[in-house]
Amino acid sequence: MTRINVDESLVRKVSDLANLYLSEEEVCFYQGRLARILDYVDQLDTAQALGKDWRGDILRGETPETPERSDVVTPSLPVEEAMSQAPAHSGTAFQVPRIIE
Amino acid sequence: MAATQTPCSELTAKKIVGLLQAGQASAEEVAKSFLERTRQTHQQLNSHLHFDENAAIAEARAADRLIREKGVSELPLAGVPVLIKDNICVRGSKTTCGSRMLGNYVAPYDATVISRLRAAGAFVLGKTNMDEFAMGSSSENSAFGPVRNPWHLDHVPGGSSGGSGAAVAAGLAPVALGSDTGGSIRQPASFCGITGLKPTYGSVSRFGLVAFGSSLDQIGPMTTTVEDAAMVYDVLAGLDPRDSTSVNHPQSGFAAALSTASLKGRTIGVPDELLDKGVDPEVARCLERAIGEVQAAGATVKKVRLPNIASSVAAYYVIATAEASANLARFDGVRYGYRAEGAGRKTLKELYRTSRSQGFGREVKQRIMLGTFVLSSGYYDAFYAKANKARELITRDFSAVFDSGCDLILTPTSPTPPFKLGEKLSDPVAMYLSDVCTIGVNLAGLPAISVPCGLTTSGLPVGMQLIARKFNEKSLLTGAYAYERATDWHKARPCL
Repeated sequence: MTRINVDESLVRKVSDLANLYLSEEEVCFYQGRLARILDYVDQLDTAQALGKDWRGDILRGETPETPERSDVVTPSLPVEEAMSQAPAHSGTAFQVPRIIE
Repeated sequence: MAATQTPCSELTAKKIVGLLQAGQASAEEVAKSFLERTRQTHQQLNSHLHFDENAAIAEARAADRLIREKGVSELPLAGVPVLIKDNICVRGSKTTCGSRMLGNYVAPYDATVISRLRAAGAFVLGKTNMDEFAMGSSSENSAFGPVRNPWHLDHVPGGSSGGSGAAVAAGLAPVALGSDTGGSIRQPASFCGITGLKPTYGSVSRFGLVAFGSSLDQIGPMTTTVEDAAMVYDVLAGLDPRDSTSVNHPQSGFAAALSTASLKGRTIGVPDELLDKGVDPEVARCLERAIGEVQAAGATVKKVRLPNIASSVAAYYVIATAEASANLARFDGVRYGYRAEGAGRKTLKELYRTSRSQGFGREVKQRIMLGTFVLSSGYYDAFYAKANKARELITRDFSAVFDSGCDLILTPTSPTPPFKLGEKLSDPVAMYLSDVCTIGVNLAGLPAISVPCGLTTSGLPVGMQLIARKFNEKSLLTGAYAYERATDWHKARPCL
């Protein structure tokens, strides 16, 4: 079994990797939730081993080939429409905070 | 006109096409009937996220124009109104995914399934409520409030396609589209007493579906009859060059194949693992009776084993969350979606983080963090690699059952009947276990269907799941149709 000690620092580390800010209350909440879920997920340890050469592939076997597309330019979304959903943009550029002072 | 004389709850897609073919109704008249019914009911259920009558009428008129142009006989879904789960893009319409993150997002293009429906004469009637980013089994995780079950308003309709399930059961549309990553079409179909088809992975294009778990997601129809599901699947299935997971496996004639549907001489496997432990006695009672009904219709039923199926929920909550953590990284407040107030004045990292923290709901953050954790350095082998091994073993278990001579596998769709709102919110594992009968199908990429097979003593629907080999939707639909013809469960409707 892979017993994981889900402490506050682990929750903070994971939220940092996931680009999420958590309040103190949320850290406490997710600590409990992640501990409960990871404890359940631990049962995967009981899954029997496969041989070394196994290959997980959802599209193998009885599934037909996925053909390649021909290498030709096809119409795509006009730039103005693609930009229309941006929270802030200037011409054809998405606006973000300055990254170089 | 005849369309307005028939109660909406009795208007199937097949009947609507028949009315249009006989010149007894137009798409616009059909739309008006359903819109009137929707106006009276949708707020009670909170089934709709976008209900725009003018837009729906405009859609219906466009369908009528197409019908005049091409001829009704050329359009297999002529005049059929369809509700769309709100994670599927409809050009010019909001596509929120039940999330504050996409609360104001207007899709700039149509999903391939929408183009296909329209080209077949169908039209979009509205968009349905759902668990945020399709993450949930009860439709309580929507940022826009929970959906209610039309059979009992204090019960959940299942999830994540709960708005689609509730609306079809309540007669607000004959057809709705759902998406199914771990049971999100079949479980709400079961909870709402309707039919829900999860097609083979790769058979229906996902272009325009907001991604959750890319190795698992599929779009499929939710209807009141198997015949309608087959008619809609005929239109949805097929290669789409814009979805690289869409496969070239030309299939058609699903609805036509139903005319010779029979269970005679077919072998149906019943796995002990999904009928014994943890199944509610009322569900078990309905399933035992359903097995008897299947046998009476001429099928041979045999006990089979899926020895690794107990690992399916654990494997799923590693694989699906890992994929979700990557897929949802795109929501950063830059190109589309929610941007936190004043975030533009901060650093880029702060913009990402405040936007994501304010835009995502509780369950979504939980799954993103779980997925991030299982992929993180030091834990990948312990969780993600093991989950993929379990997935492979589950896939092999299903193959072994089919190789042993079974045409179909029969299970409950859900181990419990619909539960009460709030009942499972405090324990994530209890909620995740709602999907124990459906998740293995997604892990193995198989097609499966849920059809009504009974009611509990308190009058809540129970569903039966049939599973087939990959790309054997014909076998699946004919089996389900033969069962439907032998029983009356699909005719039961909620009083609303």
